[in-house]
Amino acid sequence: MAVTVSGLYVPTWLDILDLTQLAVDFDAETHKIALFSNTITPNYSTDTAYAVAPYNANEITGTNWAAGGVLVTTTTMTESPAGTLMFDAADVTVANATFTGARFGLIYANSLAPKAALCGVNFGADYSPNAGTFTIQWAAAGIFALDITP
Amino acid sequence: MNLETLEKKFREAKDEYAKDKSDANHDKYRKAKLRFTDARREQKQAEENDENHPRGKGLVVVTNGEDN
Repeated sequence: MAVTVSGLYVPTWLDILDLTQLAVDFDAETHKIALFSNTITPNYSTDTAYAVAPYNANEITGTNWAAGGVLVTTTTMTESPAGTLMFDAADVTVANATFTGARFGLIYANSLAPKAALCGVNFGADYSPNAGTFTIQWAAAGIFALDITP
Repeated sequence: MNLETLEKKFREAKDEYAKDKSDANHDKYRKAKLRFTDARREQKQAEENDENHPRGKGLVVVTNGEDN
């Protein structure tokens, strides 16, 4: 089992776009990011939500990083560049953090029930801060981008 | 206009739109969000291009402590 790629969750997007009309506001200030170890194997075709398998085990917690994770703030969904939807947010920064083996971040809609999985982020390596400042710095091109006018 | 001001204007426009979903407020919200997002993207791009800035060092960075 291992994290190999980042991705968006097909079940969530189907629910947003079909009769389900899942009410995901990508500009909301209530989304959170939880951390997981490299023990999990995300499946972007079947995984649905935080606290639902595989995201109901192997979560990383520690000092200044509780279960459930932290808020992802100043979120925006905009057209950037033309023809592309870009989801972006402020960098996630937690000072004086101590935890072990964070390999994967799950961004989820904490205001919904169940807490719909929005985006999985592969860190590429394990991170284990020891009373350090842990920062996830989103790229200039955003957390993810959907080119809908190729 | 600096990034902090653009963010403030975006948040204000968003709050107004949340209260009153008029076409005018929708337009203001979209424009304020775009101005803020464009400015934030430009700032991040400048940081990524700066070899001395942590943003160029990767997605996750641990500082002021140990990364075991």
